[in-house]
Amino acid sequence: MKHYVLKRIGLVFLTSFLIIFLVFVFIKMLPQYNAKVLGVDPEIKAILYEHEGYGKPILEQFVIWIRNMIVEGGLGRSLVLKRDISSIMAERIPVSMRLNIVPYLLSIPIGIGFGIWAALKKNKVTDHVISTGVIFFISVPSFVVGTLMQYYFVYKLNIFSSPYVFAEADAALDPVGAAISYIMPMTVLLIGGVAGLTRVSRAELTEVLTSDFMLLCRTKGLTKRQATVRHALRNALVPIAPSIIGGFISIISGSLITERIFRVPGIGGIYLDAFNNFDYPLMMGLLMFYTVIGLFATLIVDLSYGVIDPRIRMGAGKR
Amino acid sequence: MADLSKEKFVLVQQDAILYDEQMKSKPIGYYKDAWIRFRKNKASVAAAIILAILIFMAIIGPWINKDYTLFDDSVKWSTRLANMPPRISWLTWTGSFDGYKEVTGDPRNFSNYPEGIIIEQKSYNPITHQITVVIDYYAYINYKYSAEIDESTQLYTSSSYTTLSVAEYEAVKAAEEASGDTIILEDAPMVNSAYRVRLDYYKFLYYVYDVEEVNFVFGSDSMGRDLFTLLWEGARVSLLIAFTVASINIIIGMILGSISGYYGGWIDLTMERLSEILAGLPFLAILTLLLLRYGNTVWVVILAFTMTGWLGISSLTRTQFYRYKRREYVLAARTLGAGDARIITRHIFPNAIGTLITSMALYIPAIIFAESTYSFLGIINYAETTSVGRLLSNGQLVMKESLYQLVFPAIFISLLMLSFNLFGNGLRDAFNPSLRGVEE
Repeated sequence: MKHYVLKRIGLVFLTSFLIIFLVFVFIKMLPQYNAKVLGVDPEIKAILYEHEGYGKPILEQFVIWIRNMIVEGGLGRSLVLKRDISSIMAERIPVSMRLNIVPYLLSIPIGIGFGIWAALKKNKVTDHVISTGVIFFISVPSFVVGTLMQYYFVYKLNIFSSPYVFAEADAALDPVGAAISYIMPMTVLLIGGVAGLTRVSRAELTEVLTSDFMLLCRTKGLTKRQATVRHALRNALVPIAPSIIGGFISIISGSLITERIFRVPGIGGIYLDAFNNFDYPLMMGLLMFYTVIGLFATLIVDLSYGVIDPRIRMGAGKR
Repeated sequence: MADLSKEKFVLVQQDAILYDEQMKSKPIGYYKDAWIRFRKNKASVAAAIILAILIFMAIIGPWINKDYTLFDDSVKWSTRLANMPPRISWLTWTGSFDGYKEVTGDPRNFSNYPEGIIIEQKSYNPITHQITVVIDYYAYINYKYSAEIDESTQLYTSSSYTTLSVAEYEAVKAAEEASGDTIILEDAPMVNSAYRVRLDYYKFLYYVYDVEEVNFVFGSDSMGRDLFTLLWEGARVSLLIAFTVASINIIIGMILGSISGYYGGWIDLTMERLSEILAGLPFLAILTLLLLRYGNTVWVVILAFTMTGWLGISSLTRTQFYRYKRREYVLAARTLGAGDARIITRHIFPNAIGTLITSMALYIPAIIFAESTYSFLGIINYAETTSVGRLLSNGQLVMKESLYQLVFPAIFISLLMLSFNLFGNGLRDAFNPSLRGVEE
């Protein structure tokens, strides 16, 4: 096991290194890259030439970039925000996490609860209602849910004062109002999370409930409740657990849509800004971040299959 | 054991020829079986019908309201028709589609309006001294650009006047003579080779631009473009991308998946490692970098979707091949002399087709979802067409005043996603009855 885990971690590092290299080369080869990044200020130009190796071959620049990252922890300087990229990320990631953690934690009990409820009442009214809700909220894009929510709760019903979350400065003055302004984006995220989790847990539990060993449990004398709680639930949760664990990692990377709709100053919104303003160094840093996060999420999902259920052959987990 | 004499036994069917009984019913093949099962699922059938209507509308929709596409070359006129609320004459009894709009402002602003524009007074705000009234916006626009009177000076406002070029002025004059109708309400001499006249705006549009009746079925956007036409144009692009991407990815994924699944060994190993690296590339990175490099066009978006989109289909096909390639019937086929290509296409592939069809039906809505999401975010932004996601994000900016600009694209994309998903679920249940209710 230990050998396998180490091998997988090593592979993740190798893969992310390769991907980052590809992205780095691609960004450097974009037309206008040097004109945009170097700008007109001769002082900045000199610093970039000296510190980040501009003008040298791309391969060498990549080595310098990696060295700077490891030695100084810096990812370069953002063109638009005029600051160090790692400090921007360090400031933005907590905002995204704060927004994502509550819906994530709430969606687990609610989603699994609905899933169990629907599976136990399969083909009855409860199941139909829940399943319809699930298919509805999985189909309707979150930007539709979010914008309509803004319209009805802000302009029609006047429950919230603003469709957007409070800016940092206002939040310091009015922490309660700031917390309230986060209710809508959190609800949008929660709805999406619950719908997904309900669907998966209903499907898994239905499969387990119809399997042979459940019949055996009943024949050996367990009541339906005992059989469900002690045997069916445990087996049904095994395939769900890793994806929940994987979800925990992805809350760090934020959510592009929700952050855009509600103007949350998180890590997702900053990528959009970087893209629109051709802030190439910032894009590079963020893409590296997304790549590493994505690969580690996959790795943890795969490994947790093996830990949670040793029957599943290591490395053969479903993705 | 009394009387068993030989005479009691008779030989039967001695001369008769025996046949198997003929089958009473017709044989049911795989696809027919699936079709029967699919038909039973009422929700999926309904979804399929809605889907067919939506796709049909996406094909012909942009041509229905031709009147307003003609405006493209005369921004001067169409911007006057910006943010018009939806109006459908035979649906006004429902309370929507009546072309009315709520406007808030100083009470004096509304004092000069002629009969019929103000429908009802909604509320009065004593603090700001502003009233909210419901006005017939279509009548208001004609009034505004024909005979608006300023409340302080009691003169016609500048918006009442229209500046015409010589050619336009002559066209109006010709139309007036031909029809006998008055278009120009207040004539003026030529100044700097232009005429600044006051004219009946809708009549002008009717006679000079052939707009029979100013009527926006879904309203107009902030640039005076017909939302109905825009929506179906966007839908056309979304569907075009989804179907193109899906077919390309299916073909690539199936071919590569079959090869790596059937041959295994070092081919499979290499492909797996390659897939792993590609799968690690965030889609966001691929999309944004390609758009920055090659410009924001439909083909670049399709390219971005096909870079890594085939991975899922390939691994699905590969798994199916692993399942079937060691079966005895494959061995039998090989013993009979069938080549690799024949075994792959004729013997293994048909077994995998059910799984592939169902994953396909759910793959298309996923592409539409992604495309509309990224265009909502403003990352995808075609020069020639406004995609549905873009319409939605434009609508979000003006939703307080013009909710319809948000609602129609929202309804469209939701309906499309919903019917695609229901249709896909129905197909999955039909092709894989064993998977019924189990979603993966």
